Amino acid sequence: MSNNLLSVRSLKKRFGGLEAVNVDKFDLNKNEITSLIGPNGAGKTTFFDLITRFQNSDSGSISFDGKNVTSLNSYKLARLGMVRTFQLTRVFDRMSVYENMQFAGSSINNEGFLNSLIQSSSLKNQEKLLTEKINETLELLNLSEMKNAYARELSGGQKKLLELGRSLMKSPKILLLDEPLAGVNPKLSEQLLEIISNLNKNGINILMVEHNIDAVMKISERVVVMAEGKIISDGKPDFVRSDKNVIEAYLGSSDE
Amino acid sequence: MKKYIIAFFLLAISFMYIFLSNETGGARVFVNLMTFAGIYGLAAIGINVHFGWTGLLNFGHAAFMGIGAYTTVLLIPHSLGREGVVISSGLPLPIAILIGILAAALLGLLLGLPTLRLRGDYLAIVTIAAAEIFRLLVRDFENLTGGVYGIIQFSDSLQNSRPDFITRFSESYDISPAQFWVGVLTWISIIVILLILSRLKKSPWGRALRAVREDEDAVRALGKNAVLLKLQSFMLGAAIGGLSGIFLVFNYGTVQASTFVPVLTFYVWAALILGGVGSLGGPALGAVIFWVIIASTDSISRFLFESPDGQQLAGVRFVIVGLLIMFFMIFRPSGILGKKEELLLDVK
Repeated sequence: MSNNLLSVRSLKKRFGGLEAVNVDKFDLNKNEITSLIGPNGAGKTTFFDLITRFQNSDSGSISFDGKNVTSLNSYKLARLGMVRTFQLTRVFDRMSVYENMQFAGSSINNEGFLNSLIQSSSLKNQEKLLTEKINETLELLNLSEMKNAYARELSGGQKKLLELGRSLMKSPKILLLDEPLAGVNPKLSEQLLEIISNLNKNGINILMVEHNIDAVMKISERVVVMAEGKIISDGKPDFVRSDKNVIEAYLGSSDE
Repeated sequence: MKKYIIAFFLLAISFMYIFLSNETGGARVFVNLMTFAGIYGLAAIGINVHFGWTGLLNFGHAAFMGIGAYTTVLLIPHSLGREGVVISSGLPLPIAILIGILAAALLGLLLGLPTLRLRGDYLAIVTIAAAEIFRLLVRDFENLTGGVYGIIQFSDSLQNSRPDFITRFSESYDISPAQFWVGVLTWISIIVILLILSRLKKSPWGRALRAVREDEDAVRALGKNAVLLKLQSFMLGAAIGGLSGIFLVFNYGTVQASTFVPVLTFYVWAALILGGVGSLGGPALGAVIFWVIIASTDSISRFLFESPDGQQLAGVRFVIVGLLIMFFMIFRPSGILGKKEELLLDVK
């Protein structure tokens, strides 16, 4: 268990009479791209919310990077290296693209009230050093030209890119992407997939929820299928594609 | 740049109007207006930190102003309540003011701790209720606060520090030296606080507050403690409100429970909306414009009533302030100095 980056045991969440999530066992141990798919309402986003601690689970345990994080605050978990994006893109609308990146990258120490009031030379230096990393990341995401634009002026796809870029400023161990391709045009999708797969080659674990099955099958090394809150299939793309459980979940079972 | 020219002309026209419409005592009216404007402007700067910077809806600013004022006044020599009990010993004024400001910040902490974890609308409800609870407590704990009879004779602590040249200047222009001194100190405080705030606004802390204003969940996802940031912002704005409350009661020379009624909070909000939510100097400018309008209600009322009484004047005042806020919300929601791109009051 200690070798796993992420390890989830008997995680449960109910909303009234609905069992939204009931996952017995889920582990991530290799650096690979894992995709979470399933019909609408299968509990994928809730599962995301539970493991990133944006929602409290009813029972079960989560450990990340050897630590038990079952009841850790979401922001503390993010500091440990688990960074997520959102299904409905959340950029800081009335801040510039550059400021979005700056906020993500700046240290908590510098954001202390007193440190910000005093503004020592080391704080100013660190802010300057940030510039380089921001420019590199924006370059990677083809957002350099939009640097000074307000985030709300970006197109839907560009906002997805910015959200990804912001997450990268945290140098995460694992990135949880909630529908990174939703509302993104085919050309940009192509580009995003390439970026995601490059990030993975550079050692960042990727766990993503995505509805675009073609893209998922192309990019993922492992596909996990959820239906009605449970994991019903887990394996290589080819295995999952031909799994009877999966076909039933998507198309309805034959005896109904 | 254009908005600064508009602001300049607005101010120039307002001031000219004040002096032209008051052939005698124009200076006195002007100083009265500018002192109140400074106090409301300072209070609006506090709300601006809450709402403009951090997106926190505070409708109970009167409580922060009140606790700052009461704490300070009770710590210096004063005369209390119906009987006018004289308490002739007390702390030096600067220390009392500092404690008053801290008390306001502490009330911010107290209100913020349970509520800042919730979504914005809850904070609005809690603050509005807290301000009323504060006012009613002040009214009912007569032994401590003087209740409706209030506290008097505390101004000397401040007025003893008035330099001679202020007094001489006031006498030669026929203005109240006591009020002039309060006004001067208020505007000096505004300048100092705006200098500090402009530093903070550009700092990583200020940027983090803006991020919280935009999207708390995203802030959390990036490993930042949104609740802590909101708490700090809430305390800072409350402290600034506390200071403005202190100046307010020194301007009146007395303080009663009725000084801190909810309408005070909403007048301060009006000043903030006029000046421009989110902008640095906007709140102070808005407060000046607001008080020019208040000061000119008399002449506007004369169009409507032959000889308006106090109640009619107050009614006209409400109507004008209401219309003005509506006008700005519809035609210029970014206020006079606000940035259009960072519009915070967009009605969706």
